[in-house]
Amino acid sequence: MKREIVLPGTLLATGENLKPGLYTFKEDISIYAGLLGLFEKDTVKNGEVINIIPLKGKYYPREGDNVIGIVVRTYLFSWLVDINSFVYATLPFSNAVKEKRKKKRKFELNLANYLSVGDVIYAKIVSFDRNSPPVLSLKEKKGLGKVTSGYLITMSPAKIPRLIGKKSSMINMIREKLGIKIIVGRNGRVIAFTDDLNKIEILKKIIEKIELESHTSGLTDRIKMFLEESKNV
Amino acid sequence: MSEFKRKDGRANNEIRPLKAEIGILKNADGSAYFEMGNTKVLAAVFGPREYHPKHEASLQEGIVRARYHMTPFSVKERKSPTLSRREIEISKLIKEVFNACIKRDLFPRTAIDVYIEVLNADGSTRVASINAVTLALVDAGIFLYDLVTAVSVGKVNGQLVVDLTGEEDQTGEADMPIAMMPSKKRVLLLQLDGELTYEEFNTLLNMGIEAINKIYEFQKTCLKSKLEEYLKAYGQI
Repeated sequence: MKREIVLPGTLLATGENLKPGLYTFKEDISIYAGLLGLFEKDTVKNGEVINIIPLKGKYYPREGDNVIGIVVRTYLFSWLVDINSFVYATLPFSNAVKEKRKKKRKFELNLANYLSVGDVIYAKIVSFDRNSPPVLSLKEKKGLGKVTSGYLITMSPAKIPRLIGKKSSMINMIREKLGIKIIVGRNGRVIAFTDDLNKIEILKKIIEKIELESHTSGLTDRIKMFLEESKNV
Repeated sequence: MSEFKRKDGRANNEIRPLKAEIGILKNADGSAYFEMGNTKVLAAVFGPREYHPKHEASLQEGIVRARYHMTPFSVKERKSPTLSRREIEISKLIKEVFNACIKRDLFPRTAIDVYIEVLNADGSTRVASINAVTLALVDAGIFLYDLVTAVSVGKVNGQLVVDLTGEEDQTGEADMPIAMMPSKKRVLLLQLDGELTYEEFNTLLNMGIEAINKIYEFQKTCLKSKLEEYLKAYGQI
């Protein structure tokens, strides 16, 4: 699998039926790259979406992504959440709390009893389009909700897919070897649930390594070796 | 005519030595340092981020805001650190150049803030700034239609020259900064200060495009070099 470094404006492919992806654009019948990234030439097929693997950039919210957010403001019936993107997300009260709001006692509702500014939440993006900010939910599946303990690590959002790996192979391997619970937000935030500072130090080093070498293959094996080495020390 | 040499010994169509570094400021989303001879520029990019004040934001697309600033020590005599008329004007044109080359409809209601500090001024500062900002934008991972490359051309002592120094700019008869998207061959900025005949204008434009292609190649190698090292180390290329 040969990869090529592409820059904004690099011609990727020419053809009648090609479609541009999120990081590419179309002009006449040609597809060009829009970001610094990697491109796999063998993947070009007629009628398919041509995309690149971005190496930099902010998180672009997408429906169905799990993210780790920090509450920045409380409104009357919703919260404003920083999801490390170019827009803040909103978390409506009905998406956060299971019990139904009693209509009569509407004005007694105080959102600060549930989540307050500075709280960290693990949430799912349920909708996002260009006209409105992303809407979060804590009720979509198990495991979502307020995060009350753990260690928050930030990394480049473009490198998160590499940390997760194919079918979560990388992150499961790290979880297994370190023996700790880790949750990963697509927006470049990682939480490790442990009090063991050594393990956190190792995790930080792994993330650093992944950020540097994300565009190389065979990374999972090297991380595995690195983990085994650090275990012996 | 080829016998003629400029004060610094360059040929007429020769650009000054270039140097660039990318990602040098940690707090910015993207940053770059760019050098053209003695002209040294630092650029930082923030964003896309929330637009403040909100009523000025566009519902359709993100907006680029630029601030071109010359440091007090960038020129021989101390320059007042407040923005002068000239700096505000250059800020505006840099803003317009990058508004044209960024795919802004991906980020409605946001701002992309561009800050440029001229550390040392020796002519062609606006052109060096544009080159620096392009590198910083790519570093920030912002969607561009193409890199933007700029160069200044002009007429000094009757000679048509490329990449003017500060002295040439002051003593010359005309100078003309050009900014282009090189691979698309689209001109984004073309200013002309002075008088040129039609033929002179045409030759200067062609000389400029030639120089722009040289700088474009330099920009590309700058952006790729670090990545290529890693890819080569793991046998990916």
